[in-house]
Amino acid sequence: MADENASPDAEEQGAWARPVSSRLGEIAMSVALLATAVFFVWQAVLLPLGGIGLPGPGFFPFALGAVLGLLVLAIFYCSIRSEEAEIVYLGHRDVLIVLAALIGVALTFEEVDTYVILGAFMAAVLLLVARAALWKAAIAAVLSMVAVWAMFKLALGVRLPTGEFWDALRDLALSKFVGGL
Amino acid sequence: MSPFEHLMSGFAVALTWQSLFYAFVGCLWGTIVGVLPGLGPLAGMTLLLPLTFSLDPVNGIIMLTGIFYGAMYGGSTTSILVRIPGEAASVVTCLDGYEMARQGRAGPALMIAAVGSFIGGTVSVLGLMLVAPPLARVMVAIGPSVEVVLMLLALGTITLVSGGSRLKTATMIVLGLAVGTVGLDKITGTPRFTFGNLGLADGLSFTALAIGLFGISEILFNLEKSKPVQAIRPKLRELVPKWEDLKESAPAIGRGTIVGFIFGIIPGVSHVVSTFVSYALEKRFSRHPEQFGKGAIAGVAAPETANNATTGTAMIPLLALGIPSIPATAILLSALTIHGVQPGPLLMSDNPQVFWGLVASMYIGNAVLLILNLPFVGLFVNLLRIPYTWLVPMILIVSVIGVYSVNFKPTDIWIMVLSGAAGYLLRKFGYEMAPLLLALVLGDRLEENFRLALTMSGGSYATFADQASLIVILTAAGLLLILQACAWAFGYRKSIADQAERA
Repeated sequence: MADENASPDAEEQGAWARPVSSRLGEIAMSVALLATAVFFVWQAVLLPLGGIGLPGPGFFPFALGAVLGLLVLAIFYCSIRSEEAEIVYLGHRDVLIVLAALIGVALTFEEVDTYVILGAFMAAVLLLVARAALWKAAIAAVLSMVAVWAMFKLALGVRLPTGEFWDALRDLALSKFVGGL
Repeated sequence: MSPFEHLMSGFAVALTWQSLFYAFVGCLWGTIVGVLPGLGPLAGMTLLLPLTFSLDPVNGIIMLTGIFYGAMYGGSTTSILVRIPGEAASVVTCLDGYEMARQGRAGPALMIAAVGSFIGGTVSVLGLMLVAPPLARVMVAIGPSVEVVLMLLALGTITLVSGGSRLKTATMIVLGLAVGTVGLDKITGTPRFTFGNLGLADGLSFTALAIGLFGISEILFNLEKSKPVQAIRPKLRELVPKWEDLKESAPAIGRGTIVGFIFGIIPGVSHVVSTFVSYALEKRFSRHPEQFGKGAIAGVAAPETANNATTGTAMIPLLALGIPSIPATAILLSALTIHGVQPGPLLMSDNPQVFWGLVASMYIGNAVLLILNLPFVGLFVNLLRIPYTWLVPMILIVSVIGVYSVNFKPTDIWIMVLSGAAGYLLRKFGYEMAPLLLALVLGDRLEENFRLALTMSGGSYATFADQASLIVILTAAGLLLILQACAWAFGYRKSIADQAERA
């Protein structure tokens, strides 16, 4: 929930947004990038480096990792020395919801039927981000999936994964109704 | 064959109904993304990139190019009617365009912007047609060392001229080059950073990375500030400019074309720089400089012409050298490569139908845009009434399916989502995505040519400073220095451009 004393700027940033000092954020970003640089150097060392005159497959990533590390250290140094700068808002409600929904799609894309999962994604984003009424979100989800089917399956011939959703649903129905007879 | 005969053969390709259809779709989508605040040409191109893979190379590239210049056109609409630049190159148009709209002269502003864009775009394609073939012939003779020098020069220039911190830009370039090393080493076939995952043998999917870094991060970024917009809506009969408007605009369009074509050479930010320079130039040439910022039509004509005139020039390094100078052409490069077409000096001899078909389609595309933009401006303005939050899930669904349909690997969806989140965070703290994308595209070839040049020279680094390399370095650096000095003299400051864009 938004802080009661939040500034109008914070209000604009959405209910869940939290102010972060850009200095602190830059330091955190530098650390993350430094870790990336160290990873590249470490992994490159495990590859044949070759010589200066005849570089091997590890040479380029090693050199790039090292340069990246140096650049990031320079940014880190500048961030530490800089005075308290502007405030950056992180954790905007809509951004978090959309990201979470995208992760959900990535997790279930091949497991569940494409149209089911993308339709659910559409409805969820419309309900939670666009704050649409349930019936509007449901109709939009169905219509958009018809459009997706027409565009990708019919027009472009793209085969999308059907997953195990319908099979599981059929098995469930069979076990409940046919099995019970 | 003469250039004219080549062009005619290009028209034979571009005038087939399929090519016309894809040019139209590209222009339409480009205009839509240009009109929608926050979705620029890059996001528009990356989001539709996977769809082009099922097309043949010529039609795929025609469609992507249509999006590129369509977005340049569309960006002016929101600048004039809402005072929200659809993309960075339309920032300057806001100054006088919106003032004109407030004075009830939105129609002439839109008309002149469209006509200027058409003229600028068409003349720049003519320039591309005349400059690229001889340049390619020169470049055929160069070796890998000169190619390395050229690529480093392009990346170095982007660091120097791009907006934001140079240190951060350089970091993004090196990060892009490093990420580009993931996958099998092109020379020895050694797997790098694949951890036994065969799916990574070809490297991280460029499409997934591009859509994540540009498309998804931009959508997330815009979600924070999406609010309903109030657009001024001109009527069709109000579009016709007065005689005075035409008299004032004609020289501005002429100068804007020249400025856009020349400044299009600067890697990275050519389209933005050209708009600032042409605006400043017009102000100096004008008999009424005090009217600038208060609704001067020349203040709309010049920058709009200039930003479209850069599109043809921006294609020259891509098509003649195989080196993209701006992110949009980096996406075109990756699309061509995926289709098995290698842009560069040999493109015109190996795949003349691609080169000349593209050139011809650019002429057609510019005409399509003129026809599309003027009568349907009201329709495009209506797009602004659709809440952004309703568009987001639709765009994301197309992105997810698009990314998946390239290799049919769910890993690519993960790459897209994670790079989108990373791009969003990086942008929050002032890191630009464009240099990263350019480096990502160039990384492979830079390393390959670097190692090849050293092997050919017996391990001597002096090969990168031989006579040919020095000539290339001095010529290119001198040219860029002169252009930068001119831009500076005409009042272009990185800080001013950044501020204007934020405003």
